[in-house]
Parts: sequence; structure tokens; C-alpha cells
Amino acid sequence: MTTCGFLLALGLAYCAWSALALAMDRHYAELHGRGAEPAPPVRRRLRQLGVLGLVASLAVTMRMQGWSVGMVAGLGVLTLSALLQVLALTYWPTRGPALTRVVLFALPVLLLLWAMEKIF
Amino acid sequence: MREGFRQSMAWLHTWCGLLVCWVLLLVFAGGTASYYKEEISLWMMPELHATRSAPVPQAQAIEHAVAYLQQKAPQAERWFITLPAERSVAMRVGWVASAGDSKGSSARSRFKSERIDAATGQPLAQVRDTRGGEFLYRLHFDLHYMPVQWARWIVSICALFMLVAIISGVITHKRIFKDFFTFRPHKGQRSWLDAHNATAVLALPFHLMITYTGLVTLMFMIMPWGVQSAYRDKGGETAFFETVFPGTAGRVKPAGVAAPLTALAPLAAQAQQHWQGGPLAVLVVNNPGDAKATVVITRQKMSTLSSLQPGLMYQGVTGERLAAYGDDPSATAVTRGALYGLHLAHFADPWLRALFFLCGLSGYLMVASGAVLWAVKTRQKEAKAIAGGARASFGLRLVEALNIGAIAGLPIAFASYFWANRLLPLELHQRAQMEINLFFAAWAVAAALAQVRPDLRMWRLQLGLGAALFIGLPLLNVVTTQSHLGVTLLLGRGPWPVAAFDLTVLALGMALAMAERVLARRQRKRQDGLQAAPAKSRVERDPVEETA
Repeated sequence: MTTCGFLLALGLAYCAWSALALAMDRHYAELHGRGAEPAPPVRRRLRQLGVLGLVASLAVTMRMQGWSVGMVAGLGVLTLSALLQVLALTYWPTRGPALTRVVLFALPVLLLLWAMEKIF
Repeated sequence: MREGFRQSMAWLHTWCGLLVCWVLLLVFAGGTASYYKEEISLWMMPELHATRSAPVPQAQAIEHAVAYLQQKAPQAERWFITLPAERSVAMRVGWVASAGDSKGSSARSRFKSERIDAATGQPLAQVRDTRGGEFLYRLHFDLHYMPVQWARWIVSICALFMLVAIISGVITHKRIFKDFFTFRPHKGQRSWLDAHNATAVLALPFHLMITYTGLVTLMFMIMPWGVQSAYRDKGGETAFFETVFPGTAGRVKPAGVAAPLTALAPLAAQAQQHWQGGPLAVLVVNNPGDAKATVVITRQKMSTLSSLQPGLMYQGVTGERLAAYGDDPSATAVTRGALYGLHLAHFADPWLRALFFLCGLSGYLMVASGAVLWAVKTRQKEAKAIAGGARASFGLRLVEALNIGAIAGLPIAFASYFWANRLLPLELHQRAQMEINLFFAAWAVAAALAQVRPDLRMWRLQLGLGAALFIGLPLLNVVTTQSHLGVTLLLGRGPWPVAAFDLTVLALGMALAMAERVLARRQRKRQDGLQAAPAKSRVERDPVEETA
């Protein structure tokens, strides 16, 4: 795994977990006040985005390492990013979305760097 | 019925986990460290840090190794030549001395190994005597101070319990998706359950894989019957093991007739050609100098999931090829190779290796939080009786003490091993064994102290000591070696594995220190609570008295 590719997969998985967490009542309520629940279409959209992100993260590791070792690496990336997500939700409940946004904006840059790494 | 099933699974999970958790902590700690076996070995031999030798042609390196072995152990039963590889740069030679004068002793006890300079063929004599990362690797399935077979049975049974605990744990975890990201700190029992769930569920693929494949690595010992019946008429288990582990092939009785060994370098070249230039791992020479000598050459593992290692066997005098192993492995062999490979992670590049290491740490935390959870829960149950002046039950006290001795004691043992490596005098007799003895001595003291006083202060003491020892390691390096962080990192001279080791122990030490700080805060709060309680009641009483 190259550094940029690893960070790209990790970032994708982190954002995906953020979306999946936000689709859950408990974590949605932490941001939008007690008892708030995401509207059904929002919840569906968040879940779709989350699954898409997880698949994309696995695709990146599998592109780098082949389907067998890539799957192992992908599961490792999912584990690490989920642990980071738990830490963020626990200790930065209000600043979490801002952090996710930063990661989200870094993704295209990482994608570009990763693609360039492959060319050169 | 459903509820009953879940409850019975909860019971199974609790007891399967609790009974073996302290052994599992040792296995997790040793196994996790083994992902960096070669790097730990390098760190523990500072004499090798400065040598940055240019790569030596393979033929020349092999000739040097043979010449050295011929002079050092001409009568040996077996020679091993381990060629340099990506993560271990020094060339190693080893031999099993002939059993002639000490009949009945195991081949392992007669095995000796040395590192030699591939360019000159001279031993790297000034390298200190240490088992390095190899000890930690062996520790996680061979334990120590006991016959290997016993140890492996103990570890397999514990792994079996763990597998049952994982599966029953998943079944009994009702809110596995609802609580996926949930961690609620500072809430006592709830926090421990959350921590146990998070470290277990989020790294579940790893835990399931590592436990199951761990059993697979020992499956020929746990379940030998399949092999025994399938190979009954095909040469028995020996023939089977020769196929699975080509490195053990060609162990025939010597003829007793002296005959010169054929040149190994051409054989190595031939083998490499056979594998389309694949790098070689080990050359084994059985009965060197005998008419019935055999040479086995194995290929390095590939960066695929499967850990299968093909091998070639040659006649040692004529150089004629006798057999080829693993060129066209069966589906069964590949399946086993993949499961075995998953456990060893030989295919892992630096990033993936780091992920494996982190997952291993999360396994340690999972077992630790589970063990603590049991103690916290049981103390809660006995709270009324304890508040009424009764003593904590024997089981609770025992578990609390074992928890301290294992969870906080193991880091002390590991750190002591590394400290011993730097501080023991170089010329000490049986130095490598002394390092290991200090590992166990430190652990024994920690465990015994924990039994004497299993309380919050003991937790703080041991966590703090572990933190100090780990954080002290990079500092100790400044005093005792030329390759401390100032050189390896600040001046950027490397070797990088050594710098990474220092940074890792620093991070582990800081994590332990943080745990100690958390407990210190809790202890202060508890004392404040005790002092505040009477004061508060006096304040409350005063107005009452005034009105009265």
C-alpha cells in the first residue's frame, strides 16, 4: 500500500462511518438536540452514502493489493477507521461533523496524489 | 425460548472468556509483538545498527556460509543457511550438533545459530547474545519453562475457549448494530461494557480470523487423525510433513561413509531458475560430509495470501535433484496455506503490518476490558455486603488481583525484557536466557504484589511503572547506544525500524501513563467524596439545629 492510497482508503471509510453513524438516532440526536430523529429520506440517503463509501474504501485497497490481500487490508482499514470514529463521537461529539468535512475535502486531493503515484 | 438461548450464551461467553483470559492476554501481547519480530530483533542487537553492508552476490554468500560451517561444525547433524531477506538483512547460519555425546537430548537443545557477515564470511562476533523478537514469537504458543507440547496444548485449549467466547459473544450481544459506535465514558460498568463491545465488534474480522487460524497452525497436533489415516500407506506422518514443510525433508540416517559435499552455489542457482528467479529462503544440509547427505532449498514466501513455501531436494554429494515439493499444490494445501498465511501475515507491507499490530492491541484491550468488566459487575453485586462491612468474595479478589498482574503486569514484563537487553553485561554467561528470566521475574513480582493488595493504588503503581519503563526505553538508548532517536530520527540516518521501535514504545508508554492519570483522578474524586460527605452533612445539619 502506498501512503496516499492508504490514507485515501482510511478517509473514505471514516466518512462512510460518519454517514452511517449520523443515520442512527442516538448520534443524530447528539447534534440536533434530544429526541431529534433524521427524516426517513435523509436517513436513507446517509445509509446509501455510507455503504458506497465503505465499498469505495475496499475498492481502493483491492486495487492496490489484489482481491485477496486487498480484502484483508480493507477490513483492517475499516476497523481502524471505525475505532477513530468511535473516539471522535465520544470525545468530540459537536466537532465531529467539522472533522468529517475536512476529511471529505481531503479525499479528492488524496485521490489525485494516489493516481499520480501510479503514473510516475 | 429466544431469551433463554441468549442468556445461556451469555453464561457461556462469561465463563469461556474469564477462565482463560489471563493466558489470552499473554498470547495476544506476544503475538502482537511478533508482527515486528525481525524489527524487535534488530533493535535488540544495536551492534548491527551501524552495518549497512552492500548486497553480496548470493553465490559468494553461500560459499562463505559453507566454509564457516565446515570449520565450525563439521560433525553436525544438520546445517541451516538463512539468506538475507527484506526484513532481516543479516545472513544467519545454524547447526544441530550431532547427538553423539548427549544421546536423547532434543534437536532443539542442540541447535545453535550465529549471524555472519555475508561479504567476509566472518562471524559478527560482537553481537550481543539475545533471543530478540524470536522469544516473544515463541512465547505466544510455546510459552516457556515447560515442554513445548504441553504449552501448545494449553494455548490451543485457550484459543478454543476464545473461539467459543467470540461466537457466543456475538450471539449474546443484542444491540450489536444499535451500539456500533457507542462509547459512554465515566459511567462505571456501562463504560467497561461499551469498551469491551467496541474493541471486540469493530475488530471482529481480525479476532475471528486470528483465533481460528491460530488453531489451524496447530491443527496437526489437535486433530492428527485425518493425516494418520490418509498417509497410513504412504510413509506415515513423516511423509506428510515433508510435503507440507519441505524444510524438514531428507532427514535420512547417515551412511557413516565420508564424502565431500557438492558445491551449494550452483544448486542454489539451479533452484532459483526453477522458480523463475524467485528469492531463496533457507538452505538445509542434512548429514554434511556424509555419503548420504541431502540438500533442501526453499523459496521465500510470496506476497500472496498463501504461506506455502515450495522446496527442492538434492543429493548432497552428486548434486542430483531428488524431489520437488509444492510446485503444484492441491486446493486443500492452498486453503491451509492461506489460513496459515493469514495468521502469520507474511504478505503484509508496512501499512498493513501496522493495521495488524493495531488490531492485535485492540484484541489485548478486548480481553482486558472483558476481564475488568467481570470484576466490576461482581463487585456491584456484592456492593451491599461490602458496604455492610463484609469482605469481597474470594473469587472477586482473585480475579481483581489476576487482572492487575496480567493487564498492568505484562507491560512491565515486556519493558523489563527490553531494559535487560540494554543493561545486562555483554559477557554474562547465558545472557539470552537471563533476559528471558528477567521478563518472567518482573512479571512474577508484579503478579505477586497484585495478589497482596489488589486495589486502585496497585493499578496506579503498576500502570505507572509500565509507563515509566516504556517511556524510559528511548532515553536508555541515548545512554547505551549510538542509534537513539536523536541519530535515527533527528539526523535521519536510520535504521528506520529502530526509530519506529522507539516511537512505538514511547506511544505505548504514554497510553499507559494516560490510563494511570485517569485512575489518579478517580482516586482523588473518591477521596474528595469521602471528605466532602461528612462536611456536607454537617452543613445540612446546622440549619436544622438552628431552627430547633
